[in-house]
Amino acid sequence: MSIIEAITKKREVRTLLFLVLLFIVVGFVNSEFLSIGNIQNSLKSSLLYIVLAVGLTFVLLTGNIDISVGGTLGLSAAVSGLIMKNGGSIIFAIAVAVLIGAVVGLINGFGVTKLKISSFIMTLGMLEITRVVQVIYTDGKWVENLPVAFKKLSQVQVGGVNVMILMILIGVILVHLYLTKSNKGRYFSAIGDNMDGAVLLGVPVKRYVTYSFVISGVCSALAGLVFASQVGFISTNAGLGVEMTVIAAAVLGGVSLSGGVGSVIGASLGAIIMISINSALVYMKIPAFWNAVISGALLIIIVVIDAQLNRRNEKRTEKERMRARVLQKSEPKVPKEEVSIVYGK
Amino acid sequence: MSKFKPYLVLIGMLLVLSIMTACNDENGEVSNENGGEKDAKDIEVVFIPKMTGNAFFESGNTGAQQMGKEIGFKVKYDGTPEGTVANQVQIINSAVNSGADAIAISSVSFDGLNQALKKALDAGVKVVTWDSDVDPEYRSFYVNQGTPEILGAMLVDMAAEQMADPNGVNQVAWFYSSPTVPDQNAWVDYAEKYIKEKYPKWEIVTKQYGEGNEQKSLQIGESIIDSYPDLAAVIAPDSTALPAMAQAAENKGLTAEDLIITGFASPNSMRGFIENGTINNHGLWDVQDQGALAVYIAYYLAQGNELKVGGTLDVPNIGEIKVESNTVQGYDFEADDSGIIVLPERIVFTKENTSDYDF
Repeated sequence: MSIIEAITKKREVRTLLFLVLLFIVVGFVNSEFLSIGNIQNSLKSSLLYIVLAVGLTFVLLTGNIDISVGGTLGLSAAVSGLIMKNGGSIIFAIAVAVLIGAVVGLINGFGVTKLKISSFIMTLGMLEITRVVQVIYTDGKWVENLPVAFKKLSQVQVGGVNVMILMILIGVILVHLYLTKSNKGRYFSAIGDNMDGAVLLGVPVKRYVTYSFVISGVCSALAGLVFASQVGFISTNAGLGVEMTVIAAAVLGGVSLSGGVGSVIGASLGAIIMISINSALVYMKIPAFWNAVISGALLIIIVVIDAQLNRRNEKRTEKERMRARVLQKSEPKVPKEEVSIVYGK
Repeated sequence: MSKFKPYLVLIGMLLVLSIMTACNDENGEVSNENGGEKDAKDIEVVFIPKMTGNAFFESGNTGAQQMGKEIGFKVKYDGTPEGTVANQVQIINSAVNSGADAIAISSVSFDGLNQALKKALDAGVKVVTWDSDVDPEYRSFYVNQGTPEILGAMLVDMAAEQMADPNGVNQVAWFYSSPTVPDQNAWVDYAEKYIKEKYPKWEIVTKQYGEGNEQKSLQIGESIIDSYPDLAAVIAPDSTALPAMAQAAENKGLTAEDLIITGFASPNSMRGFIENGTINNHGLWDVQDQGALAVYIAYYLAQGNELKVGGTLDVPNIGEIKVESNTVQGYDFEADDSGIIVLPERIVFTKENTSDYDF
């Protein structure tokens, strides 16, 4: 097996390669894009999508989907923003935001596990509800001019590195370890991979599906705080359409929409790609009229190339497996066609 | 097959019945005598925003209500939190059915309301638009915040007055919501013409769009600053792009001395940036005046008065206004009793006056 294949075999590594490639290609056009400053900017802009993608990955792993993330983001950002504007402490505002996220997640989880509503419909409903609650709570007004102390939180630097980036990256790695190394963490993908199997193994399926929605809700609320701190104002449309970007980011990072497959690191890398494309197009000085076309085309190209690489890799491993089996048999007489039928391809 | 359920049939019949009566309602008899002068207190103007709850439209209503109180006619504020064509059609229909004399509407769609407005006009209800127009065939007058020419020149002048050498070579970037938004694009088109005539040395380096999305606007704003290090000014005639651009500059530690940022947004959203020196000025029109003017024109027409293109009218508290032809907004439709009334003035907000406004 060549080195390239060895590298491209792991999904996250492939996503990382695409990311590096994106930066190099744009860097050729405008070398400023490769500056530490811009890389940090791209990471900073991606943060809220990374947080959302981590939460969503939990839900996707169990084979469900959470469309309500944008609504939860807007609601928690607006409520905590208003608390701070009215003189409440930052810590209290953060606690309230997290509580909102958890409650929305709990309702989602309850609807999906107890009322057996499809997660798509349940969370779509919650998306609408949270949006309207936000409008009612804020009286339809934008929450503007947030306290400077809160806005500064997203700008704190230690040794030239943004602290919020560091915190979130460490968080992603810890979550990744939890999901892959701990027994309970692996319940999530087990549920999505084969629910009946998970039940037979004694996994408390309903409880863990509910957990996944609560985690996604809390992550959306945290993303709302990141949003409020970075942007500094919250419109009534805050977070509109982010669910699509986050779902695309997760898929780009190798998280399967049918459950069981994917990692938070992949999803985070996908988020960075999705967001970096926006600034890449400004740096390439392409007329912005074309932005949406280009970012859409890039998305498709990346996914297609990825699928091709994946298929090649799978074919190769399959061939090897076949060869091994054929060697084990005493009579290697099986005609080729039959083999392909037997092994499905 | 499940059992026959009589109550389901009953519910179905009730539904059909209610739909039929609803249809009947819309065709209900409306007879308004609009001939001759009417007493002010008998006149009801329905003031319709794109959506309720939004600070911009609420301020418009404040102005409209004050005008109504002062002159003595009734102003009914009617809207829904969600600005959709269906909701506005319903509001127009109920205004017609309840016997209103005139409506003043900020439309969510250029031609989606045509049918409903035609019905209103046929029933003798006067139709005035404000803030956002409809097809000029279906309304008498549009109370406009400013023609593209006025607003485009205003944007350029707000930036130019801050430059050390406005006649020299200056790099300028446009930043607003989207390549398809009609009003902002029209302003920018005229602004570019104006730049060519007045400041021919200016160089327009880029046009960027934030899609009305705060996070994306912030990111694009930061990228604009990084990609064009020699930039003199960013002009952002969009209520999301402007505060996001200012936040991007603030994040990078830039002040109005380093980069000129100006555009259109409500004073409430920009006050913090003006006070800490990130920006020096930005503009908008006084939406309270706009609401007041819109209901006054509606009231004036409902009284049975005529207003013709080319004519003028003295409006209490606002001053003399002039009725211009639809062509100033680029429309083809022209008629004597259909025109555009441009707000007499727009506001440039600075450190000195920003705290006088609340919207």
